[in-house]
Amino acid sequence: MGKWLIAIVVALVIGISIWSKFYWTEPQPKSISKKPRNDFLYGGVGAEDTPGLPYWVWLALPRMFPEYMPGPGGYAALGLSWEEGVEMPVGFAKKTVGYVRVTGDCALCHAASHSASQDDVPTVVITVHGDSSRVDRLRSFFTQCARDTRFNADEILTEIDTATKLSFLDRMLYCYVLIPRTKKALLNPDRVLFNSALQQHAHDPRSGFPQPRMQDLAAWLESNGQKSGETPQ
Amino acid sequence: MTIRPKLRWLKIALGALFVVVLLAVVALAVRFTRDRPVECSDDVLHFMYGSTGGEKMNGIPYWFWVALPEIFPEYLPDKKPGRGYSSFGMIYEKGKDPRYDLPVGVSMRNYRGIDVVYLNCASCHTGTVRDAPGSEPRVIPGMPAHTFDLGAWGEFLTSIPMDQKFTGQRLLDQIDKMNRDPHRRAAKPDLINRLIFKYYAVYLMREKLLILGQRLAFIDNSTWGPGRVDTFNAPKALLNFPMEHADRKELMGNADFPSIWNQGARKGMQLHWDGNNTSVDERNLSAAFGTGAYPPTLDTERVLRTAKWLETAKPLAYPYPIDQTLSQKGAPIYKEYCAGCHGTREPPYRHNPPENGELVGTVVPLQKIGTDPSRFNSYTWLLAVNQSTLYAGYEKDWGFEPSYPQRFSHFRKTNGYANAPLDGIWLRAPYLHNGSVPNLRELLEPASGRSKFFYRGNDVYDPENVGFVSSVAEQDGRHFFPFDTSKDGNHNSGHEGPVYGTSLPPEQKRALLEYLKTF
Repeated sequence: MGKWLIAIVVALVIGISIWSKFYWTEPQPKSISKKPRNDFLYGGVGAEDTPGLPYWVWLALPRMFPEYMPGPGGYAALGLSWEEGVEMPVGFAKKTVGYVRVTGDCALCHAASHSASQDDVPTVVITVHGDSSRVDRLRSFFTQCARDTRFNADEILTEIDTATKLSFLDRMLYCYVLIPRTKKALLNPDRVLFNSALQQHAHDPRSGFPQPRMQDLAAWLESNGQKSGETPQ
Repeated sequence: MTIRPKLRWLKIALGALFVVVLLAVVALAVRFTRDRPVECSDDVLHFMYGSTGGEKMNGIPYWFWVALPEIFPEYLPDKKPGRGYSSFGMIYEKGKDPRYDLPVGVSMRNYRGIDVVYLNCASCHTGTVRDAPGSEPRVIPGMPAHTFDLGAWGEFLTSIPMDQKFTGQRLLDQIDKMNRDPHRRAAKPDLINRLIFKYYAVYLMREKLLILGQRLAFIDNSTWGPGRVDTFNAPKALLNFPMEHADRKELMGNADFPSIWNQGARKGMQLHWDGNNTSVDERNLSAAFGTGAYPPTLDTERVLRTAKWLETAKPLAYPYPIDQTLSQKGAPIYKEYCAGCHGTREPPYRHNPPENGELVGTVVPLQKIGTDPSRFNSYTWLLAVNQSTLYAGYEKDWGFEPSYPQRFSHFRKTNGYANAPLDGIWLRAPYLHNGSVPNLRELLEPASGRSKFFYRGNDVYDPENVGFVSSVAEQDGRHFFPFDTSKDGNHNSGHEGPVYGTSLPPEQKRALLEYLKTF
């Protein structure tokens, strides 16, 4: 009887740990979810269906592979807009679904940087017409990283160790599951970054969205984004 | 059933062995999980010798620290062994032995059984003042470390890994030699540490120094001289930006070490020379990267102790005679010409309620102030946004409740240089953000009347001109840094014209100078 009890408790603890590390979902902070503009720029669009990039891998890649970057500036060097003081560049949603993951959202194509002159700090302009050139550059960066022999648990964890202290469980998770899985998945970055709805939309921009969340975002963009030809404010 | 005597002895022997192994495992576990920073009873001592946590990841074993200047004197500025790190302008207090004691600004921590040392805040923010050549120096915590040549020190360290003398055996031989010296201060390393030194530490240190050297290679630290650093090209190296593709104009950002007193009154002001951050906490943690303290290794409790002390730390009052009558004549001139930007003499520097047009702690556009643009250009929007990922994970939405440390969110690209309060201004020479004007008297002259060439790094005070002696090339065997204002980043223009007081009649300038001595 005692043995059974111990076995059940152990199984439960392991089960709950695994479940929490893969499925426990936390809402994004209110500063993002309650403000339509921030929700459009940084909000997750069905991140639950997208494997996404594990946050610390996302953070480590530009620091590990500067040779695949066109210049200084991390993800901003690839042309992504990035507001001062904000953790994520525009178009990336950070969300906890089990592990903390980074996925792409509408703003990756539907937002651009605008600055009056080369020395001015750029501002973000939300655009109705999408521009996929940033996604192209991201795609190429991620693929090059994934093909590099230095994309392995040992070297990535060494880089992560300069930025944070992972718990034992997270370390194991990154070492044996997330990093190997991400390396393989990044050979096709679209499937890592975008859920099926966004992939479909990128393929055929005219097709509508069946998901209510996507329909809301599309409607918001239609009424709040800059139409092409308009001068950015 | 009886146990045969032989078997019984075997059991006892096995049992004893088990106990011995167990004890050894426990002893090793205790040793290799040890993390014991130096403890200082006094806040000032803690500032000068206490830890930020940086030794954990970037520490140099104490015995390497003392052995290196002896093995590699050829990389020291004066090429002389037996004087520790004094030729870099590091400060050894009275009674300390530079061969074995640590200078001000270096802390020690026993980490995993080894005493390791590294820089702390005081290395760049503690200086000395001498009344005359040969007289005893006053050590002043919180003032710019105007004698410390950080660039030369970095060059020393990064030259070592490529040298064939950097081997475990050579280090151990030197350590043994120093151990036979009756003046040595620390206990001899034990067998385990000697093995670690020889077969592990020397290789780890070489690897780390090579990485450091390569990442920082794009920064020309030979142009700094004592008392200066290229502050914001260092984080670009930390973030591993591919700087070979960078715009040339951002590659030089040489700036003076600032004084760091009265931080409490600076909360909310635009901090750093270009005013790129308004959070004292973030500014502290950003500077702590320079002491090797990264988010996983930061010693929060000890960094906070220093931060707390700095909130109210005061500069030393001017120790030389002040002409009170003249100084009183200077007060209204200060009020008319300087106070609008530099604030009142004492904290909080701002009037309550604020007076019209009070600009202390805010940025003046570059075109208006007209000082050297290099430091301004070195800080880029691209760096600012990437700094928002530093201390990532330390946020409420990640479940981190304590408010310290927090992810950086205050870095901004500005459009000029910030107006700083002038507390202890007599100790902050040379002047302007790049230290291009040797003394306050010259700062009140237009650029055409300022020295085009002078020497930095002398700690003998010059009360006549309010600054340090800047006309002497060498003194007591110490060579000072030749500062050429025509070089990149060294221009001494700007902060000039009628509103800056450079057109005042001589007697008014004299009065203003006298009043500034009271700050």
